[in-house]
Amino acid sequence: MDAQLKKGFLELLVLASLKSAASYGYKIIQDVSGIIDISESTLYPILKRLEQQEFVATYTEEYNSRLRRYYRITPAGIAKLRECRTDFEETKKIYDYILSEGGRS
Amino acid sequence: MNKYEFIYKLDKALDGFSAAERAEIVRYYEELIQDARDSGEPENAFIDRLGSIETIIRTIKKDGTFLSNVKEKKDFQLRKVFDVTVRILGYSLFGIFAITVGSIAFSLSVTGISTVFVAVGAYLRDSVADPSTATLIMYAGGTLLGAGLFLGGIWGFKWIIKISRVIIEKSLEFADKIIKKIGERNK
Repeated sequence: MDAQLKKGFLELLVLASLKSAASYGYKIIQDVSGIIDISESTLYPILKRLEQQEFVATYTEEYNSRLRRYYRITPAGIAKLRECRTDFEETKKIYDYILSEGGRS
Repeated sequence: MNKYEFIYKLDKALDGFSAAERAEIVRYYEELIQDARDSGEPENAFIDRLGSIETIIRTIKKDGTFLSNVKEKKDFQLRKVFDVTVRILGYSLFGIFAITVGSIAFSLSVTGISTVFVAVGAYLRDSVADPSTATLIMYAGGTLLGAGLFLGGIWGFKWIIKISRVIIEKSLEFADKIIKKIGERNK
């Protein structure tokens, strides 16, 4: 997949993986890796960016006598995912055109 | 490479980053390794899968938000000094706390075990001359009390060991937060 396209998708996929419940680094990778190729080192900047855009918020909780950082989706993050619906319609139109050999179909 | 080796090398390689970011990245990888281990993945294999430390740093730096932060090194020295001070303060406060709780736990267990010995010893000595029910109850009570104190002391020791890691992590996190705030104010 194109690198730029993948970057955008990764952010949305990570965000979507938090839709039902808060999660943590290791689990996010396990959840998302079935859909897209993602590594531990690529996840870190993605989480960081999502946090800076305030699409996710973080908190720490004790687990097994250590602290674990959890990420949860914010209302702004949920709104961002909702935008995907309109994006999908537009993207679909674009791909339909591209794949139809230059629109001559 | 084992966890300690990896974390040590990663921390060293993050030298150009601000103290807060450095701590955050190290913690992120520490947590990943712990979580991998807790879900049954072999530690070394997982660390090999993380790729080389050079690649990890390059991936982080490639991200725009980080580059701008890395470039901004004006108050880097100041932050470093502050970071170290908070760490030293945190560890010494925790040390005092651990010594206090530890001594209480120690004296409880020593008192407990000696009470058990005294009570049992007194019972054995007096049992020859047919003791009354009241004395028996007294000895049994002494033994139970002693055993209780001893177990309480041992529990105290276990408790400090258990919470020590969480307390240290929480204080480091607190320090990181302050450092971040100072960093934002200076921007």
